[in-house]
Amino acid sequence: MRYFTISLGGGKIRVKEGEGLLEALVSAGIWIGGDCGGRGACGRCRVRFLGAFPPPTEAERHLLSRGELDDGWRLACQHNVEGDIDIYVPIFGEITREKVEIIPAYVGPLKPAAALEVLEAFPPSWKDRQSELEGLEATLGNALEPSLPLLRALPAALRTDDRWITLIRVGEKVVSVRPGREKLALRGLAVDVGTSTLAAYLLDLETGEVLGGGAIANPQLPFGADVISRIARVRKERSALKRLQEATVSGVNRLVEELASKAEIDPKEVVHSTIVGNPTMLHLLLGVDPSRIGESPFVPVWRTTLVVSAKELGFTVHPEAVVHILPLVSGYIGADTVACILACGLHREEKPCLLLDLGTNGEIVLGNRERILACSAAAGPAFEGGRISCGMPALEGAISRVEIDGGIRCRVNGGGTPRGICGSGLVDLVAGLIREGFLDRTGRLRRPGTHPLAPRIIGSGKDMGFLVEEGIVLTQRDVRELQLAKAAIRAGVEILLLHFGIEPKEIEKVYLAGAFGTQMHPESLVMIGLLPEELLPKIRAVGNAAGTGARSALLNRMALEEAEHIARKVECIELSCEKSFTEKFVEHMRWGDEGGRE
Amino acid sequence: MLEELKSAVLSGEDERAAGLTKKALEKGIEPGKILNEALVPAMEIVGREYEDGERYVPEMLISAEAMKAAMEVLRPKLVETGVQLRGKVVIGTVEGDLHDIGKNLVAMMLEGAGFEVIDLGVEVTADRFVQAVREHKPDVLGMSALLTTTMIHMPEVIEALKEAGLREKVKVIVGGAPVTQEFAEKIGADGYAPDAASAAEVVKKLLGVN
Repeated sequence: MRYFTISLGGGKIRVKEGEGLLEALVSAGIWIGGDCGGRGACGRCRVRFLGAFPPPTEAERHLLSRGELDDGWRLACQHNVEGDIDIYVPIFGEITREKVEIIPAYVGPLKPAAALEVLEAFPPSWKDRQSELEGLEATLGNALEPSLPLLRALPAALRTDDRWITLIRVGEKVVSVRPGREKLALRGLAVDVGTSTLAAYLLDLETGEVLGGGAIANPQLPFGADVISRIARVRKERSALKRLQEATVSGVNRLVEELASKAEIDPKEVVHSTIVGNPTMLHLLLGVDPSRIGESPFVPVWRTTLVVSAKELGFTVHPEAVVHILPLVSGYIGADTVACILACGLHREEKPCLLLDLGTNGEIVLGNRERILACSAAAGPAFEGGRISCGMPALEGAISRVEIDGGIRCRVNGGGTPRGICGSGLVDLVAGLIREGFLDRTGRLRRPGTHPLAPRIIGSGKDMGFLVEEGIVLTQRDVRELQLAKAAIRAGVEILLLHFGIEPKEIEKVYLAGAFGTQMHPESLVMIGLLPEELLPKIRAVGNAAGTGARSALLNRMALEEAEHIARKVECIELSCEKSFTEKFVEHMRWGDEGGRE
Repeated sequence: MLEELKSAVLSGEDERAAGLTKKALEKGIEPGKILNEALVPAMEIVGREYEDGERYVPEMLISAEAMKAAMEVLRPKLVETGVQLRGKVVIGTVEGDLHDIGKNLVAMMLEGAGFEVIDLGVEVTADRFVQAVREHKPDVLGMSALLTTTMIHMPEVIEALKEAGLREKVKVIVGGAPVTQEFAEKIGADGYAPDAASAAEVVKKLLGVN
């Protein structure tokens, strides 16, 4: 196998010969545009070859201008790495690591399933002539699963002088046996496999302390931006399932390695792991064909909590580590949603609470301790800055907050020059434009003659746009994308309210999960009509609640059982089967009456 | 009177549109004339305004609803007087796909352009498409899919039409979010439209009417 080097500005990436360029960049953690899953249709994965460049493909001739082609601009999805190359990746140029914004402290009782058990071992005697394993079982008072690694570790452990041995257990399972009674470190790994982001946390299972957390772009991105296109890929190509699985597992391993080295611990100290994610992501992580989720009636292959070993999965932690994959509810409501519910404690509330997790798919949950309803709304990637002409993820350089009155003020993540706008900035911007009369009720951009910002409206007809910053324009089409996204979510909320039989004002709390939620301004959400106005004072951001749920399951074995209980309790509402969905969807494409100076 | 009906459709006043249609008929205006000089031009404007970004889905829908209300009144008279519609279209969302907003919009825009539309609904299997083509003998068959995973059923329907010996008898058009011109060509469809407004144009062009 030959390897080549891709040089980009400061960094270098080593790549196998023949690997797809887009795939290689994404696996290296580089955020690069792309909404079409490498079909050469969206033109957003453009890179510039600085040395020799390959001849353009048909897709490139279609999407790039003559001048751009001559300057070496190409689409990363169209080329394989066939030699050392030097390229420039615009906008998301540097090797970036998404920050894990908020790690809320775990507040529950500390009762991890992983525990050390110190035993006094008795040497085998003539009297009962038991096996060493039976001897151990006798001291322990219960039977042990005679796994090979256990048998291999046993003789050495039993032949020490001090006669003490230490078992590392996760629940009933013995992960390893060590001689002596020296204190051993117990670490846990919580993983959240999101459609666009992989997040992981390393924990000390004894103290509950978070040793580190990090996130990278999901290495599956070159296979498609959303779950449906990844499923389509699996159905089309037999080898795709295995490649998607390997890409995900190696992504998790890379994160673990990084987190472990930063925390200065050995990854082999990780003995317990919990994993959450949407149903498709979990199918792909396990190498289970998710095809059924892609078509009506949209069913997953399994739903209950799964227990596997790290080595079965290919995780480079302790090979015998116990991995719990939290349960699913349906083909679209997954362990991530279950973990969010667990983290917010919605299932224990007396009064109904609303939970929104706005990723590529928006999950909406409404419920209390009596009843929990959930649905998934195809909101598209607008809330993550996707399919927006000037959009980008909430990374450095993203405009994350916009205030408009007589003038316009933007806050840029990390300071510096803005490179694009992320979901929260987009919602702020549109909310401001509605308030200031730049957008009418139907979502049409217009130029309010006397407004000091009126000259910022540029172009006309369908090419009209609002100039946010130099080089960053919100187009009429971008506004339409956001209208579709918010209408899908709002219609979902309305349908759940209808099924629950309550009015918005009866909702006690609104939890906003996900990175989007932490940067979001509730006033803007209400202004664009994503949520009814009366919910404004009840909105609170809960950060990566799915990750928090996964961490609670590591720190409290009861939480694992609770997750299963929640999963079986949630009733799914399939929006496309709802008669009034279309009506509500269309109705909420417009802005509410609350906005718009006529 | 016809101008008034046209503006009622444009502003999406369904009751008024139905009322004006009734009045026009009572006044003895020919059904064909009401269709071609009020409803069709109104929906053409709607289509154009959508293309220009002036209107969006909700504004297109309210006009389509008004047009539909007028058609309910007009349709029986059109049949009675033997007015030839511009052509017949059978339309449906493919197997495994429950999405119908886009397909409904296309159906309305086609009706507004003076075509007879038979809507098979959602999750339509290849068999049902073939059966409908055999039964209704349409000029055009329209298929919609909103999922990358379900658009693969489109070529299956085209194959089934071939097997049934019906492929030459009907023009096939496809659409939906993941569908592209390239895909349409690859599977051997006759036409593709990126949105509801241009779907009517595509059908007109395929059938050589304007």
